[in-house]
Amino acid sequence: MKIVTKLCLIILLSHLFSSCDISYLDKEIEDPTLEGSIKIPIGFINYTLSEVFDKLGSDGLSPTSVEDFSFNYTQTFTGENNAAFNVEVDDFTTTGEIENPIDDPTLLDFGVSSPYTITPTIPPFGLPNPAIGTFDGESQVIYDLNLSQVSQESQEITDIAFNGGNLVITLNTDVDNQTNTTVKITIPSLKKKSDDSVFEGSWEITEGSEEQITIPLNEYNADLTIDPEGTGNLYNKMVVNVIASLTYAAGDTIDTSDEITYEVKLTDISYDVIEGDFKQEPFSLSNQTIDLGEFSDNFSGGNVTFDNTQMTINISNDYGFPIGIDLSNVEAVSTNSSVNLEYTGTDPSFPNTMIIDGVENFGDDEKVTELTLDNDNSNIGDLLESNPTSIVFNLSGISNPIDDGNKNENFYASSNTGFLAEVSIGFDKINLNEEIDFNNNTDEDFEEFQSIKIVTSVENKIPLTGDLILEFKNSANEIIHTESFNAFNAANIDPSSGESDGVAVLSNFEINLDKNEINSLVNTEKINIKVTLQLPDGESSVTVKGSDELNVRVGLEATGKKKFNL
Amino acid sequence: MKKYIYTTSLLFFVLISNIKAQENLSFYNLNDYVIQTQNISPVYLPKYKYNFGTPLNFGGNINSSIKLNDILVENGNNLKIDLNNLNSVAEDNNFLASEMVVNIFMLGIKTKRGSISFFQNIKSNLTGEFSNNMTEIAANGFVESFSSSSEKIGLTAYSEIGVGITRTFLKEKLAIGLRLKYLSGIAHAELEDSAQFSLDIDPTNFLWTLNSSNVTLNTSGGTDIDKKAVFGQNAGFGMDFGISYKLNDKFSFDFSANDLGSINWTEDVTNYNLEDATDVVYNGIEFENRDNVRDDLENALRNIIDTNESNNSFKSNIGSKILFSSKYQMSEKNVFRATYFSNNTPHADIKPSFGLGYNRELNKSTYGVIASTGGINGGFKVGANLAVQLGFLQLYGAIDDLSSLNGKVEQIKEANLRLGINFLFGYSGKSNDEKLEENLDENLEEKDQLLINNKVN
Repeated sequence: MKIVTKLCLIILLSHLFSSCDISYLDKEIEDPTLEGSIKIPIGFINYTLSEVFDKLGSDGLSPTSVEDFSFNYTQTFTGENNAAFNVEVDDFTTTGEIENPIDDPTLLDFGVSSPYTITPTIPPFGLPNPAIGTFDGESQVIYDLNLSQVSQESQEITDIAFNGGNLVITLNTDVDNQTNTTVKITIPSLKKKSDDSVFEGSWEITEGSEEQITIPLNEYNADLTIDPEGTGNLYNKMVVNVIASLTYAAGDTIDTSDEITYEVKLTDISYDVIEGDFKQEPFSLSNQTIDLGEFSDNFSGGNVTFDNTQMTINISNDYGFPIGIDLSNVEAVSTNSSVNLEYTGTDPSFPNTMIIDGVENFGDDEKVTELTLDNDNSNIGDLLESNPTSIVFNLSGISNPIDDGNKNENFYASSNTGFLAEVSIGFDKINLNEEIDFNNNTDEDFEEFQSIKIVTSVENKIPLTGDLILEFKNSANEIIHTESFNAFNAANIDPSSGESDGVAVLSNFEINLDKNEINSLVNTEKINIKVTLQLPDGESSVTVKGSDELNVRVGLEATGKKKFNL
Repeated sequence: MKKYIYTTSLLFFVLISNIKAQENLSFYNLNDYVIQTQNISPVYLPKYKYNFGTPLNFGGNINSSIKLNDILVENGNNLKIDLNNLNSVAEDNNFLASEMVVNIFMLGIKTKRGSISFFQNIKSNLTGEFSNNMTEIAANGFVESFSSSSEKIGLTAYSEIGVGITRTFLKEKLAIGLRLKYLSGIAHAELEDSAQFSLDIDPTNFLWTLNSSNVTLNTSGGTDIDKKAVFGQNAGFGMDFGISYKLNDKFSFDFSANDLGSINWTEDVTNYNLEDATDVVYNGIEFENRDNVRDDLENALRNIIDTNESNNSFKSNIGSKILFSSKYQMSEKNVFRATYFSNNTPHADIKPSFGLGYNRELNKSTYGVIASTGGINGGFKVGANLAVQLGFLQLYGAIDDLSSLNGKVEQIKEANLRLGINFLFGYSGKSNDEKLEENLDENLEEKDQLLINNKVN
């Protein structure tokens, strides 16, 4: 190979080697900013239900507790003194006498004096004796029933429909037996049920032989509105009219001191219904207490609130008059204090009073009234949130609570189911609130994150569903971020025991935070944790055990960016 | 004749375009023109009586399935590290193999029936294999489950001082070469070959399930390089072996196995161990009564992924290389050579390479081209080589991929370069057999000419 060829090849080779473009290597390498993500389990915690409550400030549920956990508590009440409206119509007796209608002046006019034996004629002209004939004597008795009064005002009874008892009329006379003596008694206050006719009867009586007539009252109604005296009081009056007729004949002896006595007696009275104006008659209900001891113990010390708290009062009233129930003595009693119920009601003039309609007509079904007290019309929420150990119901009532000056048209049926009240206190959810300090000393750590996803899986053996709300608050106690989610679903319930079947139900939820949200969380000073517990769908109560487990696993997916200096 | 050569060459290049080649194949084709080829074929006999290799002999070889700009992406006038881009271009398995050889000195003396050589080389190689699971992690972090069993990495720097002997037999038809090398380790780092690590991330709650076995990173050296470069405490023994056989005037075959041996690393050894784990679940921490979540998390993770360090000596193979070639002597100055090369580094599963080269072999110079495929990147490559002599000064160069020379450095996946300057004295030209044959040929030609002259006369 010639030297020139060799040189050319060397130059070519050198050129090839040097022709490589290495300008790329002259460029500066920027400080690297590395961005990446990591999915990593952060940790776990296993709670028993007892510990959950304890963490939320409620330390009453011990690990060994087995309790019925209900969101609804019911109590029933009956009228304590139904007799207040049972108008007792006592036996009453009225007596009277009718004097001989021929008195001494009359005899004197005849020119005779008592005792006088009637002659066929009278001298001097032999005129017929004017003493021969029939002479009537009358008597009227207006009997006031004098009903017993419980209140200041007496009841004003207008009608009674008897279903038992007797009207006993006893008649006596000392008129000579030779004289025909007839007594007619009319009782306009007694009307026969069959034809509404007034009671009326006549009986001939003789001296020395007491006449007693017994009439069953179940055939009669009493109309106590007859007012022969025109007093205007159309109630409580029993009117008896008695007419005694004496028929003298010649030979009879007229003794002006003779008289006819009578006794009208209503005994063993019973009735189907009694009507009138019963006025405002107070009465009490059976005092009852709903024991919230266990429930309250579970949440004692905790900040507990309830969603959609309601007290429902369902009352069945078989009385023929309205009743007002005073609720002001419904009291939530806790260890150191008590809270009374405040109910605005529908009528501001009747605070704390529940107006219950009465049965309109005798024979109608009982009147059912339902009243719902909620946070809009009462402080029922405050009662429950005062951690009461019990709710005491000192209920009292009054008939005809609305006094508008008009007569009340009431009735009382002897056969009645009375007054029955059922009170239910319930709520949809229990909210357990706990605020914790969040000492965030990791600002730098947060700055490196672009996004954060916190995944949480919960294995729940507690037969309660739980929602979780996290409220992040800044130093001004303002909520700067909120996360809410269904934290866990209720474990299934073993139908035989009502308890959790012990099989964990898995629930998952995520918290996704973008860069802005992460930055806002840097200012977090406090986190308010609100756990809301609900009963499983379709369950009114469950049996919970303090040992029921809740296993929580938390994982983090963080995307970060960090700049490095070369 | 030239037409025949060109036609044959074209045919070879067309055929080889369906296979591929690399790995010093072009340098290998310089044959016995360059004494340093004994580093890859101990049976090569120098053409000169005395061959002295200067420290100006350098070889570099980089092969990577990842380009530089796959990770350093241009951003205006700057470069930025872009792991997402790296991940996007990464294949299921990715390889990196680089090797640098500096010939400190080499003295080759041609003997009557062979040669003897003395040499010292400083070698370093970095070999690794990683899956796109790793680039996925680098780009996106620990967000998906992954398994890592194919990840390998090995970095070795060592010095080799040795002597080589080549001897011919059977009238130079058979040649056997043997080089014995004392190895002195300078620095080393390797992930144990059977290391396995997997992380399963539960998509629901992110629980980690870990499996690991034999995850150990052995390191040694890195300090006092000057002391270790000659006779350090990290000693080892190595050997190159080669054999060639000349079937006839046209065909001959070479086989060599190089870098057989190992180094015992005893100095500055640190073993970074990850405890074996089988289906170990990392739950995080129990939240109850925690003050410092970060520290507790780190401690909890450390308890699961326990690491420790030890200082146990270890042995590492230097990575054998197998080379087989068949040579077709088309004519006196035209040679075709088919080559098979296998790099058996323990730190990467590299496919073998194949090459088909042509060299024009003159008395003191040679040049040629080679087509190759295989290896890390595959693809069809065209390389070239050249060895020329200017007086006693020999210059040589070889490259496996010419396209890498004119390209941009950031786009190069592989580069292979051998350059050097040797001092050569006492050209002996052809071997004794060749001389004998030439003499016989010349005598026959003279006799034939005499016979022709006699017939003419």
